[in-house]
Parts: sequence; C-alpha cells; structure tokens
Amino acid sequence: MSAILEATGVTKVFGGLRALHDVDLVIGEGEIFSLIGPNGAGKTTFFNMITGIYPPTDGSVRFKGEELLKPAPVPLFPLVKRPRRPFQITRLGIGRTFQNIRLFPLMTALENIMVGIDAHNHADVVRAMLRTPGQRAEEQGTVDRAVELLRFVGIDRYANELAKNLAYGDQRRLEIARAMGTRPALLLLDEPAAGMNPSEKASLMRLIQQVRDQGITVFLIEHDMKVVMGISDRIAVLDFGEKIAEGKPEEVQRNPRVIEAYLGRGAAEKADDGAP
Amino acid sequence: MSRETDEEMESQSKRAQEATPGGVEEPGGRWQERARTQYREWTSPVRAGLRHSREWFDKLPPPARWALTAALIAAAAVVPFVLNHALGITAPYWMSIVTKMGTAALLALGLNVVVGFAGLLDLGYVAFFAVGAYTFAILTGASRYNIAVFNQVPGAAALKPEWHMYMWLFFFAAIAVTMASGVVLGAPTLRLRGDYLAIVTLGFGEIVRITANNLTSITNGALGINQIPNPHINVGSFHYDFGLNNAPYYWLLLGFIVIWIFLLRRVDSSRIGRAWAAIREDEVAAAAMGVPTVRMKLLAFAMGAAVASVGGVVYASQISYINPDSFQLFSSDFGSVIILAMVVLGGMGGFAGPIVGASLIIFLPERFRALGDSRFLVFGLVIIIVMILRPQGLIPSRRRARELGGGETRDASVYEVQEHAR
Repeated sequence: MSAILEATGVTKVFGGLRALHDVDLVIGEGEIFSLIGPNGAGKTTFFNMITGIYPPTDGSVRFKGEELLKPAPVPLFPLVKRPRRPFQITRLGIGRTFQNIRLFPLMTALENIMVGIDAHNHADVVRAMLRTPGQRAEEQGTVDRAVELLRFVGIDRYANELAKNLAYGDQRRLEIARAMGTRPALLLLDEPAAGMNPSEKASLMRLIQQVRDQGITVFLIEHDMKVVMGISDRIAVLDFGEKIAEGKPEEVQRNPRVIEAYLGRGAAEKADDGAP
Repeated sequence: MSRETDEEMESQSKRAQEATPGGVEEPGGRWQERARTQYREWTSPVRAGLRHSREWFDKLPPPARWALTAALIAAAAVVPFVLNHALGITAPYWMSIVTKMGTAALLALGLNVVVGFAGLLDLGYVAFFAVGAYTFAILTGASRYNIAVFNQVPGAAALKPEWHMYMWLFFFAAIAVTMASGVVLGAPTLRLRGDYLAIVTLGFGEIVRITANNLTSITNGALGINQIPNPHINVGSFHYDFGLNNAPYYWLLLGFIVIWIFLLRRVDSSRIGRAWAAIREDEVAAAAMGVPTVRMKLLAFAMGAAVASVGGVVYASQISYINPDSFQLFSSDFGSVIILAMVVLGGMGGFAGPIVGASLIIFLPERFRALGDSRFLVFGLVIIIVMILRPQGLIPSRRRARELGGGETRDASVYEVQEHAR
C-alpha cells in the first residue's frame, strides 16, 4: 500500500495558541482513515491547512509525492513562487466537505455539483461566447456527470431543487457529491454524520464505503464513534494539537491515552485495571 | 493572512446561518413589510401576467423566440422615426434623452456584470468610462490639437483632427486599454471584500478624474478636449456622417447593447456564470470546489471595463468634448453612483433590469424638469419607494430575486409559518 498523503511535523500556531504541534500522519491509498479527538483538538485546522485555507507555521504535507505547504512555482513564471491557493489544491485532487454545511444555498442541487465538476473543465470566456462545439460538449458532459453523481448519492429526484430546500441529511450527501465532482483522489470529510439520526448514519456509512470502492481515499473527521469504528481502516487521535495515538480501531479503543483524553484520568486508570 | 481567512470564514458562516432558516430574510421593519404586502396584493395580477408571458416565451420553440427578439430589437431601432413623427418640434430634444438612455443602459449592463454577476461593489465604475473616452480623444489626435492651440503653437490649426475610417479600430484600442486598466486596478484589490473593495474602487474613480485634471501635457487638464471628430462611414460610394444627430449614435449604442446581451447570456450560462454565482453565495466553498476566485472576479471587472469604454468612446465621439468634470462620482449624467443606482433600481443580475433602471433614472429628472432643482427630490422619492416595495429591483434575474428576498419567489407556506410565529 503506497502512501497518498504524508504529513510530517505539521505545526500551526494562532497567536499564542498552538493548534497543531508536530503532527505526523501517513494515509495509504484506498484507505478510510479517520482523525478523531475532543473538540478543539486541531482536526479541522489540519484539514484547512491541507486545503490551503490556512498557511502552515511549519511542517510538510506531501500529496502523491507533491509538497502542498511550500510555495510552488507559478504557471508561466517558473521563477516566481507562491503558496498554493485552495482552488489549485482542489485541482490537484483533494476534495472536501465542511463541518457546517457550505453548499451554494440558492443554486440547485445539480448546479452545485456542476460547480465542482467545472474544476476540470477548460472552456474559457471566448469559447463560452462563441459556444464552440467543444464547449457545448463539455457542458453536456458536465450535466450528465452531475446527474450521475446525484444518483450515486441517492438524491437524483431533487436535481432541480434549491440546495437550501433539501433535507439536512440530503444536504450532507449533496456536499459529498459536489466534492466528488472535482475528481478527488483524496476526499476530506469533516464530520459528515453530525446531526444525523441513526438510520441516516447507517446509510452514510454505506455511502462512504461506496466512495472508497470507487478508488477514492477517504480522510474522515468524525465524533460519532459508531461511524468511526465501523468504517475506518485506521484511526489517528489528536488531543490539544498533538497526535496521541494511531492504529486500527481496536487498538485505538484500548489505548489508555485515548481513554484519558476523552473520559479523564480516572477512567483511564480503571480501564487499565480491566474494569469497564 | 490566517487572521483574515478566519474572519471571513466566520462571517460567511454567520451569513449562511442567517440566510437558511425560514428562507429569505426581508429587509426593513414592520411598516415596510406591510407596505410590501399591500403592494404585492395590488400588483399580483400584473405580476402574474408578466410571469405567464415569461413562461409562455420560455416555452416557445427557438425560432419563434428568435423572431420575437428580432421584432423587439427592430421596434427599438425605429424609435427615432416614431419620435420624429409623434413629437415634431420637440423630437430632437427627446431623441437626445433617448440616446442618453442608451449610453446609460450600456453602462448599467456593464456594471451589472461586476455588481450583479460577480457580486462586487464597484463605486468607481465611471473611471472606465473616462479611460475609454480619453483613450479615444488622445488617439484621434484631438488632445494634441487642443494642447497646441492652448500653447499657441504656430500651425496648430492644421492639427485639427478629421475622421478616417481606421478610427473605427480605436473602439478596440479603447477596449484594450480600459481592460488593461481594469486588470491593473483589480489584480491587487480583488482580494479585498465588500466595503473594502468599494472604498478602493471609489478611490480609483477619483484617481482617474484627478489624473485627467492634472496630466495637462496629455489630457489638456481641466480645459478638456474638444473637436473630437464625429464618426463617418465611407465604404466605396456609401457615405454617412454621424455628425451632431442623435439617431446614428443611438443605433450604434443599440447595436452594442444587443451584442453585449447576446454574449453575456452565453457567458452566464457557462461554467463562468456558475463560478460567479458560487463566489457570490459562498466564496470559501467556491474556492474549495476549484473555482479560481480572484481570476473570476478579475474577469468580471475586465468585462465590465470593456463595456464602459465602448460607452465612453461613443459618448466622446458624439459630444465632441470631454473634460474631467464629465466623470464625477455624483455627476447627474453618468456618475458611478448614478450608474449603480440604475443597476440596483432596475434589478441586478438580469438584462432587462439595468435597461429599465437606466431609462427611468435618465427619464425621471427630465420629466420633472419643470420643477427646477427640486426635480431631484421627486427622483429620490421614487427611488426610495421602489426600494421599499421591491428591494430586489424592478426586474431582477430569478436567482438574484431569491438572494435579495423577492415577493414572487417566496413560498406561501413559509410565509404563513412566519405570520403565525409572530
């Protein structure tokens, strides 16, 4: 199993707050990898750094061998280097969803996904003005692919519904479909199960597995232990910006430091004694 | 950098939260809302009629739609003749107003790309109009002639510019220069948002005017440039002099408006239009979906600038005289604020909206000219009333109406729930 994402020594400081300290992670291709930890542990910060929303304080993240956090040469001007902007990272093959849903509320479900698919379309203004055959074919292809993705996440009957009118669970699905439109090799899901009822969670777990079966590596932040333990191949645990554990779900579940982080020291000692 | 992004994420998510529950929030307090409700009741047959005709039009087969559109353009094209027959002696006066409406409509349609499509508040739009007009005046040699006359250079009279056919190409030159100035302004500033961008564009508008005022060696400063040649058409044995009439300029403007709407409709329905809509609704999410946000905003800026420059060239070639005062922020002709008012009043994001808004804003002060300076009071009052009754503008695009809270798009069920809650 080759690594798709390799983070080493990732550090992020906000003013006096050390949100992430020296975090190392390796995510293998085709895995479902979960990042868990108590609130404020730095999970979303980690996502935001990978996707270029925050510049890092220190460290390196290699995606398919390419360094994401260091300034990269600007196209056409190879001597000028600039930090990668979020849209460039998306185009490299990292898709994401947001913790608090961030769809385009007044665009239809179909249009939402089309925006994602546009990441790899080429038609520019001139071609759009002339409506060249290539541009028209691309538009048609975009619509077809968007419908396909709507069907994949199971909400194709709402294609022409405004995103804000969809049910909560369907909005989460639409966000996943929109991110898949950007053709990611790695999909970052930020708490996709938040606010879902048990049956919605169960179908979300199936959906995530289907996403992985399409050859997309899934990197998941989630609080819901049932979801995490149910579908993850491997799990890393963050606490106060530091990685305190990593491994298979069973291993992490038994790790005393993890229990301490979640339940406090007393609980960790009891667990050591073998008490429930 | 990180701090900015933090804040923007926070404010954006706040906005998203405000926007989601119960659909669209309506601006204004209770009496405005009552006025709006009342107005909706009164006008509901009209609006239903308009909606039906729109749906009917949308359902027509394409050839019929093309034919109707062509008929509409033809109707606009014969306006000069109709005015001539109907008004007699006052026809030239009203024709000059209609031509002014044409210029205003072109400018409003251009600004609409920036404000309505990309969602950027631009308060310096008239700068691009000025750059277009000045580029044209300088290229035709009118400015050189004026400066020579002012300095009493011997033989200055020989420099008086004449129209040549190649001067039609100056339209393209003006477009190129103005688009470049749009990019120069936009590249460093379009990373700003909202109010900050508005302030920078406001400054840009003033910079252009003040530069024109002080760069006497090129622009002849406050004296302005006169004797800008009126266009001619000389093709083989066909000769046509635009001269000081209004009609040919009106047709020229009409042509540009038709071409612009035609092109912009196509752009709006392409991935570029989708990218603009996405940026307007949630910029962070748009970037995360691979939309190059700065580039897309720059594109809108440059396209808006191009249209303004065309308006500027037509204006300069018709009036034959420009000076820096023609391009003031609050100028009652084409000041940045007035153009913005046209777009907002008419309705953002569409095509009919800015045209109607521009026509009204040019027409109203003329209609009430008998009231002297207090006509601007009437004008202001009309704008206030329209904004209370229709915050989304007279004819907004459908998507913009949803964003700005329009009566038509609100679900009846949602409305009832809100009434009970209160």
